[in-house]
Amino acid sequence: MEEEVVCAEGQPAKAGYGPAAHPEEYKRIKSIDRFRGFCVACMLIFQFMYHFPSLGFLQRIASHYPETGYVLLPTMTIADIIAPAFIFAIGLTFALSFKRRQALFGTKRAVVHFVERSLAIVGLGTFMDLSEIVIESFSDRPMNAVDWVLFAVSAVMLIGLVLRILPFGKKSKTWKEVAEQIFYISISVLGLINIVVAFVDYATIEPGKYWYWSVLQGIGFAVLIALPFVRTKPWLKLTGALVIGTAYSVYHQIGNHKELLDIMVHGGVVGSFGWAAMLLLDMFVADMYFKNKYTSFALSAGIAAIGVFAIQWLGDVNMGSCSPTFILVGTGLPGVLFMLFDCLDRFHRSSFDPLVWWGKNPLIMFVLQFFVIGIYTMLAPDSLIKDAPLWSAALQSVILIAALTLFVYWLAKRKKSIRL
Amino acid sequence: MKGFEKFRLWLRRHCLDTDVPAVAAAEAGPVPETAEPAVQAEAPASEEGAENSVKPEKKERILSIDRFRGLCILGMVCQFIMPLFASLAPLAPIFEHDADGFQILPGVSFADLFAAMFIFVVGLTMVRSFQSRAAKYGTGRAYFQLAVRFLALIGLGAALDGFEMGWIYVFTTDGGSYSATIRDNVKPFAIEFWIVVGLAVLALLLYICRLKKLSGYTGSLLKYVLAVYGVYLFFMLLVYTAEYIGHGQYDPIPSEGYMFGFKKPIWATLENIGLAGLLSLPFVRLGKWERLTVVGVTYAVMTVLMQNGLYPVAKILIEGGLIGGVGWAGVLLLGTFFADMKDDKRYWIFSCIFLLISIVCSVSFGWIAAKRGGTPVYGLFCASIASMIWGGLNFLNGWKPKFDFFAIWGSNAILMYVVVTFVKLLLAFYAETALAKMSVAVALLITLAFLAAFTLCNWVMRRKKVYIKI
Repeated sequence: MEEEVVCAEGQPAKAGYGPAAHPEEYKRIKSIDRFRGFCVACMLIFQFMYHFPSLGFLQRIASHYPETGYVLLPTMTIADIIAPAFIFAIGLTFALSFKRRQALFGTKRAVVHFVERSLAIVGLGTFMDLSEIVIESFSDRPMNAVDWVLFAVSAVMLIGLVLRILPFGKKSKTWKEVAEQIFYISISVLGLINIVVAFVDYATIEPGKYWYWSVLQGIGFAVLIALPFVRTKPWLKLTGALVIGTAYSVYHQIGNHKELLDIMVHGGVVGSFGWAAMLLLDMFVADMYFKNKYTSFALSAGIAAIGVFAIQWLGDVNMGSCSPTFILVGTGLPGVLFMLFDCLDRFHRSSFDPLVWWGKNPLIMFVLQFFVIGIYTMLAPDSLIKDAPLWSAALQSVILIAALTLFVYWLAKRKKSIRL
Repeated sequence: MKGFEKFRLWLRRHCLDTDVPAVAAAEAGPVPETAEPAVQAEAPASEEGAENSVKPEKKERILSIDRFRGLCILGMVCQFIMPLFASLAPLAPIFEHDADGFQILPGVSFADLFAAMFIFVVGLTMVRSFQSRAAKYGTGRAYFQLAVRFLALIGLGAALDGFEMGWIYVFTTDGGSYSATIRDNVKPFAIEFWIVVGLAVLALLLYICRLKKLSGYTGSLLKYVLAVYGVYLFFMLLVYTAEYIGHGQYDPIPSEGYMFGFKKPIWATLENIGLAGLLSLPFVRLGKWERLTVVGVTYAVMTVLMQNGLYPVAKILIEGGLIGGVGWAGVLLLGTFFADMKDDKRYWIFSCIFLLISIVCSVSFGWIAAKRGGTPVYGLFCASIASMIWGGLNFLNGWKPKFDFFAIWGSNAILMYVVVTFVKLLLAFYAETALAKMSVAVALLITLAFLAAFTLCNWVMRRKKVYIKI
């Protein structure tokens, strides 16, 4: 979850606060932003490059398949580290974000806000999946009852979004608030329905039936599960992680549950418990980071070592089913990566900080990647994508990177953060 | 309600994290007055400028090092004694080496950890020892003294092997004799054994008779005799390794030497410790980062070589001989590195990072990790485990019980190792059948009796502040 909204106009910092008063802590937030930006950039850029076979090794970086990708650990490729790294970035700031909102608006409102936000992230993922289904309904897959219900709710959501964007004269503030509520409630309902549908789907297992689960749903639901622990002390977060992680791991290891979990993206709704355990571990490491960063770095390396060590007994690192070793490695390796960012931070002197710009608006970048880049790669002819020569693929990639970087720079310059 | 209120307050105090870190304030801007910055700025890392300067001599022993040394020696002693009893066979996986034991990593058993950890402990005190000698006698003499010490260790191991592979056969074979029974490559060390025993007994007698000066001279003579034999065995090892690599590259791998007629030299744990010390000696004056760089580069090169044909050559000799000695020297140098990092905030980061690297190399890349061969992956793994154990023991330095079991065992480690090896050899050759027939209860009782006897000897020596060193 991102930091609390600093509104577009900005607010003057009070005396005793802000970067001048706390340069060390401000630098830490910078390294978190850079880390998040790195994850988002990798997700978008290499996902785009994946469509161009002529790019050779660059194309392979985004592959999640051990046969074609770059294997980091048994059945784990480099591409598999990005999603856990993003979860790690969420874990770094989740508690901070909550405490800030709690300080401003009180605990109840903060809890409601984050429940709504988690469901909204799930809902956004649902909307993206629904968009694909609607497109496919024109060819071979007719829409079923669930699809139509979600379509209706999405329509309400879009109406709310449109009302929010359009100005309404003198009464615009009231209308905007009403429109926001329509939008948030409908997108949360969308998320809620998705979660229920996913549970029902899982209980009545039918391979190929699962359309409504992908990365955003996994992240949103994991955040929802971890939410009760956001105010707790570090030892309780760790306990929660161990309890949920152990219970999930036992479930994962027995019978054919591993294969069932592997059907759905990232383990589906049940696999989200594994992701939640990972998020809780990340939150624990984050608490340690803000107390003593050296301890947190050692913890990350240690957790990763335990995860790799456990491969011998618990099986391979499998993102598809969110295996127990994946939970540990997915906590530890991003932590080690973040440590590198933190260590290199001292060498960064200039204000040219593209990774920070990328890290300020991850959600909008994700949506952009899905709709704009997704539509482009779907509609563009093969000569431009699949059969594109190296120079063409490289040029398109450079244009994309430049365009997106300019876009995030513009957003950062205007201090605009578009968040749920 | 009162009870509920109390529970609510307890919950709030112990379970809820109510601190608002300053970083929250730094980012948000407008924060209520009640929010208190809880995160303190990190203190900058200490400078390393005085790394190579001579530190003031510290006469007191560091408890964690003694305890760790004791833990390693105890583990090694148990590995010697307990396998003598057939009834304790269910415990065999704990004491077996390589693929026969309980696997920690592919190719590394639980029992394989102890020898490496012991070498790590040698590294913990090596730099301090060098610096105190250099302060007293000058750098050149310090190098000489430590070189003699490590060569003497090699010689001591050779003497024990001279008994194990020489005289035992003479004693247990009908009509056995020095000429007929002992192999050619063992004969010099079989002689050495009696020279060493004679000088040791003489030194002890002189000490008992309170002729301390003469006892000291005899002790020094013993050390130099051991060192001379150590040089000889080291030379044999060099020649044999060179011939093995030179002839084995194109021919079927031979088991006999060529040029000097050296057969496969005897080689075991003590020799290995001595060799590791010798190979590490040139780097003892470097700073900790330089030593770490040396280990990193050496390990990288050795890993490539091991993965490409050197490993079968290395594992011909126990612990890898000369080739494996490079890996073991790396463990020792890592010990010196962690000794310098003892009070550094980054200690645990390096421990965990080394552990992660070694496990990934072994489990993920399938690189060879083996004690027999002294491979770099094995060395790095054991060094990281050892650093974690020592790091944990450092937290207990303030705890000083009257009866400090592991510290007692660690105070005369080499002597203990030699005595236990000797006793084990005698038992193995003269009482093997009887020991094999004993029940579990009797076996455990005998083992405990041995451990109690050794503990008592150690305790008496420690109490009298008698520390026997080479």
